[in-house]
Amino acid sequence: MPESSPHRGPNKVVILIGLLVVVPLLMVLLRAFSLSPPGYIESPLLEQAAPAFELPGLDDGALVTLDKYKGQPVVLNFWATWCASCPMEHPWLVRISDRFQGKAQFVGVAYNDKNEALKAWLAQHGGNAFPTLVDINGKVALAYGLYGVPETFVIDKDGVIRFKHVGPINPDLLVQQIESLL
Amino acid sequence: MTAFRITLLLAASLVLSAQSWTEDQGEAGTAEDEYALGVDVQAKLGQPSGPTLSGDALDDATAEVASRLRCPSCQGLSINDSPAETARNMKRQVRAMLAAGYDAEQINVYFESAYGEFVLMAPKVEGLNLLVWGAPVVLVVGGLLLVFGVVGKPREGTAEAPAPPPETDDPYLKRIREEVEGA
Repeated sequence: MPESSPHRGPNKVVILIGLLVVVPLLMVLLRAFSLSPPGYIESPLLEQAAPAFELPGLDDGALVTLDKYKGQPVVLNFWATWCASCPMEHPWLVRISDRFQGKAQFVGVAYNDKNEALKAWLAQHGGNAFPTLVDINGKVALAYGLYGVPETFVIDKDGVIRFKHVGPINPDLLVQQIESLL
Repeated sequence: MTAFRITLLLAASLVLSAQSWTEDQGEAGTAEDEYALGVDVQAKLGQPSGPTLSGDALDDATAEVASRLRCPSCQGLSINDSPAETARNMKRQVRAMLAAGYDAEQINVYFESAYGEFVLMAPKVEGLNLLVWGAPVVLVVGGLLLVFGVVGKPREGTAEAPAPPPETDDPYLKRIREEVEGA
C-alpha cells in the first residue's frame, strides 16, 4: 500500500479545532432558540415576595393594596379589553373564583386601559365577579415582569408568588395550584 | 382526551395571544404623573444612590439607560428603540427613577428582579457570561494563529519530486500505474 499523503495530518487537526469551535456555538444557538419566545423564560419572581402595589379599584376608585388580601391565596390576573384571548379566559376565571369563594381571592389588574372601556367590557362579558384594579401607567405590570396580557400569578397566603402563567390560563392547572395552597 | 384538550387550548392560546404580544390594540392611558414611582421601587432598592436629574441631563440619561434595557415583548430591541406599549411604560419608569435619583445600576437591578437577566441588552461580565465576552477574542486570535501556522509552514515534500512508489507484484496495481502514467 502507498503511504498516506503528508496533508492528512494537518486536516485532522483542523477538523478537531473546527469541531471544538462549532459544537459549542451550535449548543449556544440551540439554547438561545429554545428560550424563544421570551414570555417562556422562568420568572425570577417565583418563590419571591410578590411586589407590593397600591391601585385604584375600577368600581369606586378607592386605593387597594396587596396586603389587604394577605392571609389567603390571591390569584392576580393581568388583562385588558384589547386583549384578544381575554374574552375566552374570563368565564373560566369567573367559574373558578366562584368555586373558591371565601378560600382564595381573585383580583383582576387592568393593563393600559380606560375605566369606561373596562366597565363596558365587563358588562358585556357577564359582570365583575371579583375586584378589578386599574394599572393605567403599567407600573405594577413592570414590577411583576409582565410580557403581555393575559398573565396570571398565584400568590400564597404569606404573599409569596408560587405560580405564574403567561397567556390564557389552563383551568385545571389553576385549580390545582390554588388547591395546593389551601 | 385531557391531553388533546390541553393541546387544543395551547394552540388556541398561541393564536389568540399573538395579537396581544404586539399590543397594537392597546389604548395607552393618560399618565397623571409621569414621575410617579411604583410603591415597590423603594422596597426593592432602598434609597436612591445617584443625583436627581432634570432637563437635558434627564433626557440624555434616560436614552442611555433605556438603550441598555431589552423590550420584553419585542425581539432584540431596546426599550429606547421600541414603540411597543410595554417598552414605553418601561422607559417612563426609567425616567421617573432617574429623576428620583436612582442610578443606572439600581435601575438595572430593578428590572432584572422582575424580568431576569434577559432584560439586559448586554450580559453581565461574570460567570458563564465571560465566555460570551472572551470567546470572540479567543476565537479570532486562535484562528489567526492557526491560519498563519498552516499557511506560513512550508509544505513537506513540495520542494522535491515525490518519492517513487515502492515496487509491487500486484498485477492490478501495475495495470493502474501503467494507465495513469501512460507507460
